[in-house]
Amino acid sequence: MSPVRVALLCSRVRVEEKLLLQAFRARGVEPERIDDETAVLDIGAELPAWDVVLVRSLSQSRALAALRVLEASGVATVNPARVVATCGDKVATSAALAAHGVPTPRTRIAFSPEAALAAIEELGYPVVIKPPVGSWGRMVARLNDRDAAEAVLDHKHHLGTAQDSVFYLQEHIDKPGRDIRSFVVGDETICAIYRHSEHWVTNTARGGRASNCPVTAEVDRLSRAAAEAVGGGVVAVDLMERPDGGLVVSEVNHTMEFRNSIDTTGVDIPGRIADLVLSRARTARAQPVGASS
Amino acid sequence: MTTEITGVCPECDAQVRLGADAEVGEIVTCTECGADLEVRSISPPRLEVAPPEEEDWGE
Repeated sequence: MSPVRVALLCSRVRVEEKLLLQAFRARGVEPERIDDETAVLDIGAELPAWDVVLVRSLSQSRALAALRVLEASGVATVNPARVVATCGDKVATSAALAAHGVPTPRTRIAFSPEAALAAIEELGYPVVIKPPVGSWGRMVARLNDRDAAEAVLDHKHHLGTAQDSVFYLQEHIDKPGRDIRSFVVGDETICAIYRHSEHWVTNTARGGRASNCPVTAEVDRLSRAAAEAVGGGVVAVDLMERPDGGLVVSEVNHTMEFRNSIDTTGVDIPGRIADLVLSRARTARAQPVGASS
Repeated sequence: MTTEITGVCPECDAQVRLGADAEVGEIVTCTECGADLEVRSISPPRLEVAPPEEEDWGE
C-alpha cells in the first residue's frame, strides 16, 4: 500500500504547526503544505490523492471556504466544515450546545440596540457582549451598568458592519480568577489547563497564565459532550466554574493553540492530533469516496 | 552539519538569522527593526513583511 498522504492547510507556521509537522515526521509522514495565501481551489476538480487534509488556517473564513471545496471533492478533513462553521460562530455554538443539553451561561441574541438593551436588563448586570465571529478575546466587553451597555450598543450600531447587528449577550459568570480549557481529540478528553488571570478575560492570547487542571469526571463528561455537539474532531473546550462549583461551557475552538499546554499537562498534544489525523486517513482509505459515512 | 541560513529584512535591510529548523510560512522577528517577517522560501532564503492580523483570525 502506498504511504498515507496528508495535506496541511495553513496560513502561518506558528509553534503549533511546527510541532504538528514534527509529529507527522516522527510517524514517517511528510505533510504536503497548502498555503491559504496562494492557494487556488478549482471547485469540482479532482484533487491530488490526499487521504486527509488537516486545516490550521488562522482565518476562519478561509478555513471554512477551503473545507467546503475539499469536502465536495470527497477528501476527508480535520476538522470538517460543519465543525468549523459551528465553532466559528458563537450563535451556532450556543445553539448546538443547547440542543445537546450542554450547560452554558444564559445567552440572549437580539438584532437591534433596543432589543439588546432589554435583553441585557433582563439578564442583569454585569453582562458580557461578544461579536458572534471572533477569537482571542477581541471586542469582548463586560457591561457593568446601563451607561456602559448603551455606549457599547450605540458604538456597534453606528460603527459596526452588518455582523454587528447580531447582538450576542451572555450572563457574566463570576469565575474564581481562572477558567478551564480542555482538549478533546476524537472521543477523548486528553488534558486540560486552568487559565489564570487578574483580568476577567482569561485567554492566554491576552496574557492568561496556564497551569495543569485535572480532568475530573465532570470536566471529561462536559468536554466530550461539547465536542460531540459541534461535530467532534479536534477541539478545545472553554469551561467556567460558577461560584457554586457547577461548570458551564462557554466556547468551543476548532483550530486550537496548545503551545502553553504541552509542558503544563505533560501530554503530547501534537502527537495525539497527528495520531487522530492518520487514523482518519486510514478510515478514509478503507471507505472510498462516495461511500456513505 | 547545518549551515546558518540568513535572510534579508525587506523593511530595514538587516541580516536576519533563521534557525536550522526554519519552515516556510514561519514568522520571524527582525532583531534590528522589530518587523514581523514571514519566511517565504528557505533556499534561497526570502523574507517578506508578514500580513497584519485580520478580524476573523483566531482559534
